[in-house]
Amino acid sequence: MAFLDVTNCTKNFGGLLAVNDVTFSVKEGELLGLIGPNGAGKTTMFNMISGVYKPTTGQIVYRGRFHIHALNTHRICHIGIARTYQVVKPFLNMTILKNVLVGAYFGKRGVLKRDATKIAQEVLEFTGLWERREEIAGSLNVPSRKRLEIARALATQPDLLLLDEVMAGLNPAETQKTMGLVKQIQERGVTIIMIEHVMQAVMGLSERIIVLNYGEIIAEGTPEEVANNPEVIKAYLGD
Amino acid sequence: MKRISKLQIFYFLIVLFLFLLPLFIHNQYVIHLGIMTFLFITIAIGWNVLGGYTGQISFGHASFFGIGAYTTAILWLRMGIHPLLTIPLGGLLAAAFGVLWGYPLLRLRGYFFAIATIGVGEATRVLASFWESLTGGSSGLTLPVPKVFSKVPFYYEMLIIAFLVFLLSVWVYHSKFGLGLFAIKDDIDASETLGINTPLYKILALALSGFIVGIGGSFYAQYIFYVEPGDVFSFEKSVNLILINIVGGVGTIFGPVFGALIFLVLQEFVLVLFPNLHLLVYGLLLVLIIIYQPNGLAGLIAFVKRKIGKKKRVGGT
Repeated sequence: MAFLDVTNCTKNFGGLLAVNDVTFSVKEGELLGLIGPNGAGKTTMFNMISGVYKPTTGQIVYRGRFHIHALNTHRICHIGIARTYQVVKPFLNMTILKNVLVGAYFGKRGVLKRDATKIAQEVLEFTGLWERREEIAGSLNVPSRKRLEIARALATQPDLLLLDEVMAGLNPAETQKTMGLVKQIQERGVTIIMIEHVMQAVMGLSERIIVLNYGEIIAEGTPEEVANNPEVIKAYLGD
Repeated sequence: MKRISKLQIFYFLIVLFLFLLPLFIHNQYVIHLGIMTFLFITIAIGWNVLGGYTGQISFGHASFFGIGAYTTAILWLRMGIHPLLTIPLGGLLAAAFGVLWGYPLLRLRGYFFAIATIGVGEATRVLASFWESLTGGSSGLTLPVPKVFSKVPFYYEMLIIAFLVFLLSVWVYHSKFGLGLFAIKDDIDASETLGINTPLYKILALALSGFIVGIGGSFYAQYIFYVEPGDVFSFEKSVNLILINIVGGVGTIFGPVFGALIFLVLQEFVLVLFPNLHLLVYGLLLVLIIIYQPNGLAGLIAFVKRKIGKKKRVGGT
Protein backbone atom coordinates (compact mmCIF):
# COMPACT_ATOMS: atom_id res chain seq x y z
CA MET A 1 0.00 0.00 0.00
CA ALA A 2 1.42 3.32 -1.07
CA PHE A 3 1.29 6.63 0.76
CA LEU A 4 -1.31 8.03 -1.62
CA ASP A 5 -3.29 5.90 -4.06
CA VAL A 6 -5.27 7.53 -6.84
CA THR A 7 -7.37 4.87 -8.55
CA ASN A 8 -9.35 5.38 -11.76
CA CYS A 9 -10.14 8.96 -10.92
CA THR A 10 -12.45 10.88 -13.24
CA LYS A 11 -13.78 14.41 -12.89
CA ASN A 12 -16.51 15.61 -15.13
CA PHE A 13 -17.68 19.24 -15.20
CA GLY A 14 -21.04 19.00 -16.97
CA GLY A 15 -19.69 17.33 -20.09
CA LEU A 16 -16.12 18.62 -19.85
CA LEU A 17 -13.85 15.75 -18.93
CA ALA A 18 -11.16 17.48 -16.86
CA VAL A 19 -9.55 14.33 -15.50
CA ASN A 20 -10.14 11.00 -17.21
CA ASP A 21 -9.50 7.67 -15.49
CA VAL A 22 -6.22 8.62 -13.84
CA THR A 23 -4.37 6.09 -11.70
CA PHE A 24 -1.09 6.68 -9.92
CA SER A 25 0.44 6.34 -6.51
CA VAL A 26 2.92 8.28 -4.43
CA LYS A 27 5.55 6.81 -2.12
CA GLU A 28 6.25 8.29 1.28
CA GLY A 29 9.02 10.91 1.19
CA GLU A 30 8.92 11.19 -2.59
CA LEU A 31 8.97 14.41 -4.63
CA LEU A 32 6.63 13.88 -7.55
CA GLY A 33 6.33 16.36 -10.41
CA LEU A 34 3.00 16.81 -12.16
CA ILE A 35 3.32 18.53 -15.52
CA GLY A 36 1.33 19.00 -18.68
CA PRO A 37 0.04 21.73 -20.99
CA ASN A 38 -2.56 24.24 -19.80
CA GLY A 39 -5.94 22.67 -19.20
CA ALA A 40 -4.47 19.18 -18.79
CA GLY A 41 -6.27 18.67 -15.47
CA LYS A 42 -3.36 19.14 -13.07
CA THR A 43 -5.05 21.61 -10.73
CA THR A 44 -8.28 19.60 -10.91
CA MET A 45 -6.25 16.62 -9.69
CA PHE A 46 -4.98 18.74 -6.77
CA ASN A 47 -8.49 19.90 -5.99
CA MET A 48 -9.59 16.29 -5.73
CA ILE A 49 -6.68 15.26 -3.50
CA SER A 50 -7.23 18.22 -1.18
CA GLY A 51 -10.98 17.61 -1.09
CA VAL A 52 -12.10 20.82 -2.79
CA TYR A 53 -13.81 18.69 -5.47
CA LYS A 54 -15.09 15.17 -5.16
CA PRO A 55 -14.15 12.82 -8.01
CA THR A 56 -17.05 11.92 -10.31
CA THR A 57 -15.85 8.32 -10.18
CA GLY A 58 -12.83 6.57 -8.77
CA GLN A 59 -11.20 6.95 -5.40
CA ILE A 60 -8.27 8.51 -3.61
CA VAL A 61 -6.91 6.75 -0.52
CA TYR A 62 -4.36 8.34 1.78
CA ARG A 63 -2.10 6.21 3.98
CA GLY A 64 -4.22 3.19 3.07
CA ARG A 65 -7.07 4.11 5.42
CA PHE A 66 -8.36 7.62 4.73
CA HIS A 67 -10.85 7.78 1.89
CA ILE A 68 -10.50 11.38 0.72
CA HIS A 69 -13.94 11.63 -0.90
CA ALA A 70 -15.64 10.81 2.40
CA LEU A 71 -13.96 13.66 4.29
CA ASN A 72 -14.67 17.37 4.54
CA THR A 73 -11.96 19.67 3.25
CA HIS A 74 -10.89 20.81 6.73
CA ARG A 75 -10.62 17.20 7.90
CA ILE A 76 -8.28 16.45 5.01
CA CYS A 77 -6.02 19.17 6.38
CA HIS A 78 -6.17 17.59 9.83
CA ILE A 79 -4.97 14.21 8.53
CA GLY A 80 -1.87 15.88 7.13
CA ILE A 81 -2.53 17.04 3.56
CA ALA A 82 -1.81 20.69 2.83
CA ARG A 83 -1.86 22.62 -0.42
CA THR A 84 -1.03 25.95 -1.95
CA TYR A 85 -3.25 27.66 -4.49
CA GLN A 86 -2.05 28.54 -7.96
CA VAL A 87 -3.84 31.87 -7.62
CA VAL A 88 -2.61 32.59 -4.11
CA LYS A 89 -5.24 33.18 -1.44
CA PRO A 90 -3.62 35.06 1.43
CA PHE A 91 -5.79 36.55 4.18
CA LEU A 92 -5.31 40.05 2.81
CA ASN A 93 -6.21 42.00 5.94
CA MET A 94 -3.99 40.00 8.28
CA THR A 95 -0.29 40.26 8.97
CA ILE A 96 2.07 37.59 7.69
CA LEU A 97 2.30 36.25 11.23
CA LYS A 98 -1.46 35.92 11.62
CA ASN A 99 -1.77 34.25 8.22
CA VAL A 100 0.68 31.59 9.35
CA LEU A 101 -0.92 31.37 12.80
CA VAL A 102 -4.19 30.34 11.15
CA GLY A 103 -2.42 27.34 9.64
CA ALA A 104 -0.62 26.55 12.89
CA TYR A 105 -3.76 26.79 15.02
CA PHE A 106 -6.21 24.95 12.80
CA GLY A 107 -4.00 22.60 10.78
CA LYS A 108 -4.08 19.94 13.47
CA ARG A 109 -6.77 19.49 16.07
CA GLY A 110 -6.39 20.88 19.56
CA VAL A 111 -3.32 23.04 19.04
CA LEU A 112 -2.82 25.44 21.97
CA LYS A 113 -1.87 29.10 21.63
CA ARG A 114 1.66 28.60 22.95
CA ASP A 115 2.35 25.76 20.52
CA ALA A 116 0.77 27.61 17.59
CA THR A 117 2.99 30.62 18.21
CA LYS A 118 6.05 28.38 18.35
CA ILE A 119 5.12 26.58 15.13
CA ALA A 120 4.44 29.89 13.38
CA GLN A 121 7.78 31.34 14.41
CA GLU A 122 9.64 28.22 13.34
CA VAL A 123 7.94 28.17 9.93
CA LEU A 124 8.48 31.88 9.37
CA GLU A 125 12.17 31.59 10.19
CA PHE A 126 12.45 28.56 7.92
CA THR A 127 10.86 30.42 4.99
CA GLY A 128 12.72 33.66 5.67
CA LEU A 129 9.63 35.70 6.51
CA TRP A 130 10.20 36.18 10.25
CA GLU A 131 11.67 39.67 9.92
CA ARG A 132 8.65 40.78 7.92
CA ARG A 133 6.00 39.13 10.11
CA GLU A 134 4.16 42.37 10.92
CA GLU A 135 3.59 43.32 7.26
CA ILE A 136 -0.02 43.11 6.05
CA ALA A 137 -0.45 40.35 3.48
CA GLY A 138 -2.39 42.66 1.17
CA SER A 139 0.68 44.88 0.77
CA LEU A 140 2.99 42.06 -0.40
CA ASN A 141 4.17 41.54 -3.98
CA VAL A 142 3.59 38.28 -5.84
CA PRO A 143 6.86 36.49 -4.92
CA SER A 144 6.30 37.25 -1.23
CA ARG A 145 2.69 36.12 -1.44
CA LYS A 146 3.82 32.83 -3.00
CA ARG A 147 6.31 32.36 -0.17
CA LEU A 148 3.62 33.14 2.39
CA GLU A 149 1.36 30.60 0.70
CA ILE A 150 4.04 27.94 1.25
CA ALA A 151 4.68 29.08 4.83
CA ARG A 152 1.00 28.95 5.70
CA ALA A 153 0.64 25.44 4.27
CA LEU A 154 3.74 24.30 6.19
CA ALA A 155 2.31 25.68 9.41
CA THR A 156 -0.42 23.04 9.26
CA GLN A 157 2.42 20.48 9.73
CA PRO A 158 1.60 18.39 6.68
CA ASP A 159 2.92 14.99 5.73
CA LEU A 160 1.83 15.50 2.13
CA LEU A 161 2.26 18.92 0.55
CA LEU A 162 0.68 19.86 -2.76
CA LEU A 163 2.50 22.78 -4.42
CA ASP A 164 0.58 24.38 -7.28
CA GLU A 165 2.93 26.45 -9.46
CA VAL A 166 4.83 28.10 -6.65
CA MET A 167 7.59 29.18 -9.07
CA ALA A 168 5.34 30.85 -11.64
CA GLY A 169 6.10 34.55 -12.04
CA LEU A 170 9.36 34.42 -10.08
CA ASN A 171 12.66 35.72 -11.45
CA PRO A 172 15.62 33.29 -11.76
CA ALA A 173 17.10 34.23 -8.39
CA GLU A 174 13.76 33.80 -6.60
CA THR A 175 13.21 30.52 -8.44
CA GLN A 176 16.56 29.26 -7.15
CA LYS A 177 15.61 30.29 -3.62
CA THR A 178 12.22 28.59 -3.80
CA MET A 179 13.79 25.44 -5.25
CA GLY A 180 16.13 25.33 -2.28
CA LEU A 181 13.17 25.73 0.03
CA VAL A 182 11.23 22.90 -1.62
CA LYS A 183 14.28 20.64 -1.37
CA GLN A 184 14.62 21.45 2.34
CA ILE A 185 10.94 20.74 2.94
CA GLN A 186 11.38 17.32 1.36
CA GLU A 187 14.48 16.68 3.49
CA ARG A 188 12.31 17.23 6.56
CA GLY A 189 10.37 14.15 5.53
CA VAL A 190 7.41 15.79 3.82
CA THR A 191 6.09 14.06 0.73
CA ILE A 192 5.57 16.58 -2.07
CA ILE A 193 3.55 16.65 -5.26
CA MET A 194 4.46 19.65 -7.35
CA ILE A 195 2.68 21.15 -10.33
CA GLU A 196 5.14 23.28 -12.21
CA HIS A 197 5.62 24.90 -15.59
CA VAL A 198 9.16 26.07 -14.86
CA MET A 199 10.97 23.08 -16.40
CA GLN A 200 14.31 23.86 -14.82
CA ALA A 201 12.66 23.57 -11.39
CA VAL A 202 10.53 20.50 -12.00
CA MET A 203 13.33 18.62 -13.82
CA GLY A 204 15.85 19.58 -11.17
CA LEU A 205 13.77 18.67 -8.14
CA SER A 206 11.49 15.78 -9.06
CA GLU A 207 12.48 12.17 -8.61
CA ARG A 208 9.60 11.09 -10.77
CA ILE A 209 7.32 12.99 -13.14
CA ILE A 210 3.79 12.33 -14.33
CA VAL A 211 2.65 14.05 -17.51
CA LEU A 212 -1.03 14.82 -17.99
CA ASN A 213 -2.62 15.84 -21.27
CA TYR A 214 -6.36 16.27 -21.84
CA GLY A 215 -7.00 14.74 -18.43
CA GLU A 216 -5.06 11.55 -19.09
CA ILE A 217 -1.62 10.35 -18.08
CA ILE A 218 0.54 10.20 -21.20
CA ALA A 219 3.89 9.53 -19.59
CA GLU A 220 5.46 8.65 -16.28
CA GLY A 221 9.08 8.23 -15.27
CA THR A 222 12.31 9.93 -14.26
CA PRO A 223 12.91 13.47 -15.56
CA GLU A 224 15.20 12.14 -18.33
CA GLU A 225 12.72 9.50 -19.49
CA VAL A 226 9.89 12.01 -19.59
CA ALA A 227 11.94 14.69 -21.38
CA ASN A 228 12.80 12.23 -24.16
CA ASN A 229 9.34 10.73 -24.49
CA PRO A 230 7.95 11.48 -27.99
CA GLU A 231 4.36 11.65 -26.66
CA VAL A 232 5.37 14.39 -24.23
CA ILE A 233 7.23 16.36 -26.87
CA LYS A 234 4.18 16.10 -29.11
CA ALA A 235 1.86 17.31 -26.33
CA TYR A 236 4.00 20.34 -25.62
CA LEU A 237 5.12 21.29 -29.13
CA GLY A 238 2.36 19.86 -31.31
CA ASP A 239 2.94 17.66 -34.40
CA MET B 1 3.19 41.71 37.39
CA LYS B 2 2.43 43.59 34.21
CA ARG B 3 2.79 47.33 34.19
CA ILE B 4 -0.50 49.19 33.88
CA SER B 5 -0.47 51.45 30.84
CA LYS B 6 -1.91 54.95 30.62
CA LEU B 7 -4.54 53.63 28.25
CA GLN B 8 -5.73 51.08 30.79
CA ILE B 9 -6.07 53.81 33.41
CA PHE B 10 -8.05 55.85 30.90
CA TYR B 11 -10.44 52.94 30.24
CA PHE B 12 -10.79 52.32 33.96
CA LEU B 13 -11.66 55.97 34.59
CA ILE B 14 -14.34 55.90 31.88
CA VAL B 15 -15.96 52.78 33.35
CA LEU B 16 -15.73 54.26 36.85
CA PHE B 17 -17.31 57.48 35.60
CA LEU B 18 -20.18 55.56 34.01
CA PHE B 19 -20.78 53.64 37.23
CA LEU B 20 -20.83 56.79 39.35
CA LEU B 21 -22.87 58.89 36.91
CA PRO B 22 -26.32 58.24 38.46
CA LEU B 23 -25.02 59.42 41.85
CA PHE B 24 -24.60 63.02 40.73
CA ILE B 25 -26.89 63.23 37.72
CA HIS B 26 -30.55 62.95 38.62
CA ASN B 27 -31.96 64.01 35.30
CA GLN B 28 -34.06 61.04 34.14
CA TYR B 29 -33.59 61.97 30.50
CA VAL B 30 -29.80 61.71 30.73
CA ILE B 31 -30.14 58.36 32.48
CA HIS B 32 -32.48 57.21 29.74
CA LEU B 33 -29.97 58.27 27.08
CA GLY B 34 -27.29 56.33 28.90
CA ILE B 35 -29.48 53.21 28.99
CA MET B 36 -30.28 53.44 25.29
CA THR B 37 -26.62 53.99 24.44
CA PHE B 38 -25.55 50.90 26.37
CA LEU B 39 -28.37 48.94 24.73
CA PHE B 40 -27.33 49.98 21.23
CA ILE B 41 -23.66 49.32 21.98
CA THR B 42 -24.63 45.81 23.09
CA ILE B 43 -26.72 44.88 20.09
CA ALA B 44 -24.30 46.55 17.67
CA ILE B 45 -21.51 44.40 19.13
CA GLY B 46 -23.79 41.42 18.57
CA TRP B 47 -24.15 42.28 14.90
CA ASN B 48 -20.42 42.93 14.61
CA VAL B 49 -19.51 39.40 15.71
CA LEU B 50 -21.25 37.99 12.64
CA GLY B 51 -21.05 40.90 10.19
CA GLY B 52 -17.74 42.43 11.21
CA TYR B 53 -15.65 39.53 12.45
CA THR B 54 -16.99 36.80 10.17
CA GLY B 55 -18.00 38.96 7.20
CA GLN B 56 -21.53 37.56 6.97
CA ILE B 57 -23.70 40.64 6.53
CA SER B 58 -27.14 40.20 8.07
CA PHE B 59 -30.14 42.41 7.43
CA GLY B 60 -32.27 40.29 9.73
CA HIS B 61 -30.89 40.88 13.21
CA ALA B 62 -34.08 42.53 14.40
CA SER B 63 -35.48 38.99 14.51
CA PHE B 64 -33.08 38.20 17.38
CA PHE B 65 -33.98 41.42 19.13
CA GLY B 66 -37.68 40.67 18.81
CA ILE B 67 -37.33 37.10 19.99
CA GLY B 68 -35.43 38.27 23.05
CA ALA B 69 -38.09 40.90 23.75
CA TYR B 70 -41.02 38.52 23.32
CA THR B 71 -39.34 35.80 25.39
CA THR B 72 -39.21 38.17 28.32
CA ALA B 73 -42.69 39.58 27.74
CA ILE B 74 -44.38 36.22 27.44
CA LEU B 75 -42.54 34.50 30.30
CA TRP B 76 -43.15 37.45 32.58
CA LEU B 77 -46.76 38.05 31.66
CA ARG B 78 -48.01 34.49 31.23
CA MET B 79 -45.80 32.55 33.64
CA GLY B 80 -44.79 35.19 36.14
CA ILE B 81 -41.08 34.54 35.81
CA HIS B 82 -38.95 37.40 37.12
CA PRO B 83 -37.85 39.47 34.11
CA LEU B 84 -34.18 39.46 35.11
CA LEU B 85 -34.17 35.67 34.94
CA THR B 86 -35.57 35.75 31.43
CA ILE B 87 -32.57 37.65 30.03
CA PRO B 88 -30.35 34.58 29.45
CA LEU B 89 -33.39 32.67 28.17
CA GLY B 90 -34.10 35.43 25.65
CA GLY B 91 -30.50 35.21 24.49
CA LEU B 92 -30.53 31.42 24.26
CA LEU B 93 -33.81 31.31 22.36
CA ALA B 94 -32.51 33.89 19.89
CA ALA B 95 -29.31 31.85 19.46
CA ALA B 96 -31.34 28.70 18.85
CA PHE B 97 -33.43 30.54 16.30
CA GLY B 98 -30.19 31.65 14.62
CA VAL B 99 -28.96 28.06 14.38
CA LEU B 100 -32.32 27.07 12.89
CA TRP B 101 -32.13 29.45 9.93
CA GLY B 102 -28.36 29.69 9.80
CA TYR B 103 -27.96 26.00 9.07
CA PRO B 104 -29.47 26.27 5.59
CA LEU B 105 -28.74 29.94 4.87
CA LEU B 106 -25.09 30.16 5.85
CA ARG B 107 -24.28 28.02 2.83
CA LEU B 108 -25.05 31.10 0.77
CA ARG B 109 -22.15 33.43 0.18
CA GLY B 110 -21.85 37.22 0.15
CA TYR B 111 -24.81 39.12 -1.24
CA PHE B 112 -26.96 36.02 -1.44
CA PHE B 113 -26.72 35.51 2.29
CA ALA B 114 -27.44 39.19 2.93
CA ILE B 115 -30.59 39.09 0.79
CA ALA B 116 -31.79 35.87 2.42
CA THR B 117 -31.50 37.49 5.85
CA ILE B 118 -33.92 40.23 4.77
CA GLY B 119 -36.40 37.43 4.21
CA VAL B 120 -35.72 35.95 7.65
CA GLY B 121 -36.21 39.30 9.38
CA GLU B 122 -39.43 40.15 7.59
CA ALA B 123 -40.88 36.66 7.87
CA THR B 124 -40.29 36.70 11.61
CA ARG B 125 -42.01 40.06 11.94
CA VAL B 126 -45.03 38.91 9.95
CA LEU B 127 -45.21 35.69 11.94
CA ALA B 128 -45.20 37.64 15.20
CA SER B 129 -47.94 39.94 13.91
CA PHE B 130 -50.27 37.08 13.04
CA TRP B 131 -49.58 34.61 15.83
CA GLU B 132 -52.01 36.40 18.11
CA SER B 133 -52.46 33.67 20.69
CA LEU B 134 -48.75 33.82 21.54
CA THR B 135 -47.66 37.36 20.79
CA GLY B 136 -50.83 39.38 21.10
CA GLY B 137 -50.69 40.15 17.39
CA SER B 138 -49.78 43.50 15.95
CA SER B 139 -51.19 45.41 18.91
CA GLY B 140 -48.44 43.88 21.01
CA LEU B 141 -48.16 43.03 24.69
CA THR B 142 -48.26 45.54 27.54
CA LEU B 143 -46.27 44.61 30.60
CA PRO B 144 -47.10 45.59 34.19
CA VAL B 145 -45.46 48.90 35.10
CA PRO B 146 -44.47 49.05 38.77
CA LYS B 147 -45.97 51.88 40.91
CA VAL B 148 -42.61 53.20 42.04
CA PHE B 149 -40.39 53.52 39.05
CA SER B 150 -36.79 54.57 38.82
CA LYS B 151 -34.54 54.28 35.79
CA VAL B 152 -31.38 53.90 37.85
CA PRO B 153 -31.55 50.10 38.37
CA PHE B 154 -32.07 49.72 34.62
CA TYR B 155 -29.08 51.95 34.06
CA TYR B 156 -26.85 49.65 36.10
CA GLU B 157 -28.38 46.52 34.63
CA MET B 158 -27.72 47.65 31.07
CA LEU B 159 -24.29 49.08 31.88
CA ILE B 160 -23.19 45.74 33.32
CA ILE B 161 -24.61 43.82 30.35
CA ALA B 162 -22.92 46.16 27.87
CA PHE B 163 -19.66 45.94 29.78
CA LEU B 164 -19.69 42.13 29.89
CA VAL B 165 -20.67 41.87 26.23
CA PHE B 166 -17.87 44.27 25.33
CA LEU B 167 -15.34 42.17 27.25
CA LEU B 168 -16.69 39.08 25.52
CA SER B 169 -16.21 40.71 22.12
CA VAL B 170 -12.63 41.67 23.03
CA TRP B 171 -11.94 38.11 24.10
CA VAL B 172 -13.41 36.70 20.87
CA TYR B 173 -11.39 39.20 18.83
CA HIS B 174 -8.10 37.89 20.26
CA SER B 175 -9.04 34.21 20.60
CA LYS B 176 -8.44 31.25 18.34
CA PHE B 177 -12.15 31.33 17.58
CA GLY B 178 -11.86 34.95 16.47
CA LEU B 179 -8.82 34.21 14.31
CA GLY B 180 -10.88 31.57 12.54
CA LEU B 181 -13.74 34.03 12.01
CA PHE B 182 -11.46 36.68 10.53
CA ALA B 183 -9.88 34.06 8.29
CA ILE B 184 -13.33 33.09 7.01
CA LYS B 185 -14.09 36.74 6.33
CA ASP B 186 -10.93 37.15 4.24
CA ASP B 187 -11.04 33.89 2.29
CA ILE B 188 -13.38 31.05 3.06
CA ASP B 189 -11.77 28.54 0.67
CA ALA B 190 -8.30 29.09 2.08
CA SER B 191 -9.75 28.83 5.60
CA GLU B 192 -11.28 25.47 4.83
CA THR B 193 -8.03 24.10 3.30
CA LEU B 194 -6.13 25.27 6.37
CA GLY B 195 -8.29 23.12 8.59
CA ILE B 196 -11.02 25.48 9.79
CA ASN B 197 -14.43 23.85 10.08
CA THR B 198 -16.03 26.80 8.33
CA PRO B 199 -19.71 25.71 8.52
CA LEU B 200 -19.36 25.16 12.27
CA TYR B 201 -17.52 28.42 12.86
CA LYS B 202 -20.04 30.44 10.90
CA ILE B 203 -22.96 28.94 12.78
CA LEU B 204 -21.25 29.48 16.15
CA ALA B 205 -20.66 33.11 15.19
CA LEU B 206 -24.31 33.46 14.24
CA ALA B 207 -25.47 31.85 17.48
CA LEU B 208 -23.24 34.11 19.58
CA SER B 209 -24.35 37.13 17.59
CA GLY B 210 -28.01 36.18 18.04
CA PHE B 211 -27.47 35.52 21.74
CA ILE B 212 -26.09 39.01 22.34
CA VAL B 213 -28.81 40.76 20.35
CA GLY B 214 -31.44 38.58 22.05
CA ILE B 215 -30.19 39.71 25.47
CA GLY B 216 -30.57 43.30 24.28
CA GLY B 217 -34.14 42.64 23.16
CA SER B 218 -34.99 40.97 26.43
CA PHE B 219 -33.74 43.97 28.38
CA TYR B 220 -35.60 46.36 26.09
CA ALA B 221 -38.94 44.66 26.79
CA GLN B 222 -38.60 45.00 30.57
CA TYR B 223 -37.42 48.58 30.30
CA ILE B 224 -40.07 49.87 27.89
CA PHE B 225 -42.89 47.66 29.34
CA TYR B 226 -44.34 47.20 25.89
CA VAL B 227 -43.48 44.99 22.91
CA GLU B 228 -45.00 45.14 19.47
CA PRO B 229 -43.81 43.46 16.25
CA GLY B 230 -43.63 46.71 14.29
CA ASP B 231 -41.10 48.01 16.80
CA VAL B 232 -38.92 45.14 17.99
CA PHE B 233 -38.92 43.24 14.69
CA SER B 234 -38.69 46.30 12.46
CA PHE B 235 -36.47 46.25 9.39
CA GLU B 236 -35.28 49.69 10.46
CA LYS B 237 -33.74 48.13 13.58
CA SER B 238 -31.78 45.66 11.46
CA VAL B 239 -30.55 48.44 9.20
CA ASN B 240 -29.63 50.63 12.16
CA LEU B 241 -27.31 47.93 13.45
CA ILE B 242 -25.49 47.93 10.13
CA LEU B 243 -25.32 51.73 9.99
CA ILE B 244 -23.92 51.94 13.51
CA ASN B 245 -21.20 49.47 12.65
CA ILE B 246 -20.30 51.13 9.37
CA VAL B 247 -20.03 54.54 11.02
CA GLY B 248 -18.07 53.14 13.95
CA GLY B 249 -15.92 50.67 12.07
CA VAL B 250 -16.98 47.21 10.90
CA GLY B 251 -14.95 44.37 12.40
CA THR B 252 -13.17 46.53 14.98
CA ILE B 253 -13.46 46.29 18.76
CA PHE B 254 -14.50 49.89 19.35
CA GLY B 255 -16.52 50.32 16.15
CA PRO B 256 -19.91 49.43 17.66
CA VAL B 257 -19.20 51.61 20.70
CA PHE B 258 -18.35 54.74 18.72
CA GLY B 259 -21.08 54.03 16.20
CA ALA B 260 -23.77 53.66 18.84
CA LEU B 261 -22.66 56.87 20.58
CA ILE B 262 -22.85 58.90 17.36
CA PHE B 263 -26.11 57.27 16.38
CA LEU B 264 -27.83 58.15 19.64
CA VAL B 265 -26.43 61.66 19.79
CA LEU B 266 -27.66 62.31 16.28
CA GLN B 267 -30.99 60.65 16.91
CA GLU B 268 -31.70 62.56 20.11
CA PHE B 269 -30.29 66.00 19.44
CA VAL B 270 -30.69 66.43 15.72
CA LEU B 271 -34.15 64.95 15.96
CA VAL B 272 -35.16 67.64 18.43
CA LEU B 273 -33.54 70.47 16.50
CA PHE B 274 -34.58 69.46 13.00
CA PRO B 275 -37.36 66.87 13.00
CA ASN B 276 -37.28 64.79 9.82
CA LEU B 277 -33.80 66.01 9.06
CA HIS B 278 -31.90 63.66 11.32
CA LEU B 279 -31.94 60.82 8.81
CA LEU B 280 -30.51 63.19 6.21
CA VAL B 281 -27.69 64.14 8.56
CA TYR B 282 -27.06 60.49 9.29
CA GLY B 283 -27.09 59.63 5.59
CA LEU B 284 -24.61 62.38 4.85
CA LEU B 285 -22.31 61.18 7.58
CA LEU B 286 -22.56 57.65 6.24
CA VAL B 287 -21.66 58.71 2.71
CA LEU B 288 -18.69 60.73 3.94
CA ILE B 289 -17.43 57.83 6.02
CA ILE B 290 -17.77 55.27 3.27
CA ILE B 291 -15.90 57.52 0.85
CA TYR B 292 -13.14 58.84 3.10
CA GLN B 293 -12.81 56.39 5.96
CA PRO B 294 -14.15 52.93 5.08
CA ASN B 295 -12.96 51.58 8.43
CA GLY B 296 -15.22 54.00 10.27
CA LEU B 297 -14.35 56.10 13.28
CA ALA B 298 -12.27 53.32 14.79
CA GLY B 299 -10.20 53.30 11.59
CA LEU B 300 -9.88 57.08 11.73
CA ILE B 301 -8.65 56.98 15.31
CA ALA B 302 -6.10 54.26 14.48
CA PHE B 303 -4.95 56.42 11.55
CA VAL B 304 -4.52 59.52 13.71
CA LYS B 305 -2.71 57.48 16.36
CA ARG B 306 -0.25 56.18 13.77
CA LYS B 307 0.37 59.76 12.55
CA ILE B 308 1.03 61.02 16.05
CA GLY B 309 3.21 58.01 16.83
CA LYS B 310 5.32 58.71 13.73
CA LYS B 311 5.74 62.38 14.64
CA LYS B 312 6.79 61.47 18.16
CA ARG B 313 9.35 59.00 16.89
CA VAL B 314 10.74 61.53 14.42
CA GLY B 315 10.89 64.21 17.11
CA GLY B 316 12.48 61.87 19.64
CA THR B 317 15.45 60.82 17.57
